[in-house]
Amino acid sequence: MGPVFRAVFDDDNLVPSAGMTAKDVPEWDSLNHVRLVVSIEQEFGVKFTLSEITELKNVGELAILIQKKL
Amino acid sequence: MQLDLRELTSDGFFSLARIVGVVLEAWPDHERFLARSFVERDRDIAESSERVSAMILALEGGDLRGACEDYRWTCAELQEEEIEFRRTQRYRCASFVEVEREVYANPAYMRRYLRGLLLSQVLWANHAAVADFYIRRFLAATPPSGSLLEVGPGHGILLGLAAAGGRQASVSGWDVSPTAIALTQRALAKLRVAQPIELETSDILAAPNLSPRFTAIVASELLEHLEKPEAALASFRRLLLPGGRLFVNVPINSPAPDHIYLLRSPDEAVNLVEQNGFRVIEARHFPMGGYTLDRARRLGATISSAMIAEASVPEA
Repeated sequence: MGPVFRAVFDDDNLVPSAGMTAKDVPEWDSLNHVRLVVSIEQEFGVKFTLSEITELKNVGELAILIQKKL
Repeated sequence: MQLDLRELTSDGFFSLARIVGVVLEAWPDHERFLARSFVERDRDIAESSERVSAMILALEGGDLRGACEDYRWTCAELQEEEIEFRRTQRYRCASFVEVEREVYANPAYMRRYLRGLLLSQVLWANHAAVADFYIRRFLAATPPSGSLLEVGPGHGILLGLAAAGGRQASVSGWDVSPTAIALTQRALAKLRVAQPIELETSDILAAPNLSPRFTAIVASELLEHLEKPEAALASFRRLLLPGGRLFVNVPINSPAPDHIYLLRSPDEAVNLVEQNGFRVIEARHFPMGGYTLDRARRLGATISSAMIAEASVPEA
């Protein structure tokens, strides 16, 4: 997921961790949340439901969700 | 100017502070978004926001908490549209018939949606900046004793602002929907606008024999709802008196349940107006809160393009 995070948030030094939330990344606003999730969908060939997208709490939850769908 | 959400009252923005306060009560997690939306707002824009906020309180102050809940709901609806837009790079609805079926013909949905968007006029950086541009650059420059028409007046805020100064000899509002006209009528009554405003159910795309009648025409957040905005611009051209001015506000990359016509850049917006009988005199492009214009262009984020135009002279 690292390359997707770094591309979406335009930060070459960003390293996502399980506990990371939107509050930890200054550029993680509602638009970039959508850009992140849709980029993940394209990268991993999965599709999230609306509630999955809006209820994600941290990067760890996102990783578990991706693994379930692969 | 750094406008602090928590200091609006001490800065004298009492109406704005009340709206922000109730929104944050209803939706505490929205604070980060609002902080970004306010931080770059200069004093002029903040003063215009305060003026519009007082009008919003006149309209919805009796149930401000309900309006704030509707604002939150509207933001969720728009986020759903944003997800589809990012997946497909298209607006979900492509025709007026689809939007009519899904949105316009659903009064309960429309009520919540319009109340939500009403609050966005002061809460979103791009909407607040457009309102200021309309007040200071367009209305202030209209000739005294002119005749102003707004097409699609909706919540009535822009018509109310036009009538407030007593500068116009006549102020009119047209909409294709009698339901929408009734809504504007009720809003103007609540705003206690002193000057009579002529409201009319009229389809500018179908009206035959349009002749020059107005010195100013306002089309704010209208063109994106149309399948063929070119036809609307042609009608505006026929309705404008010589020397008249057109105000256009159209969003770029702004997915919404009732948006049909997608413009992908401010240049496309300017070209749309200029290729349909107008010369743009002044254009301002306002990115969504927290974004510079360059970054918004690069990421395809929402930008409100506001333009003042006059009829172009046909080439000989």
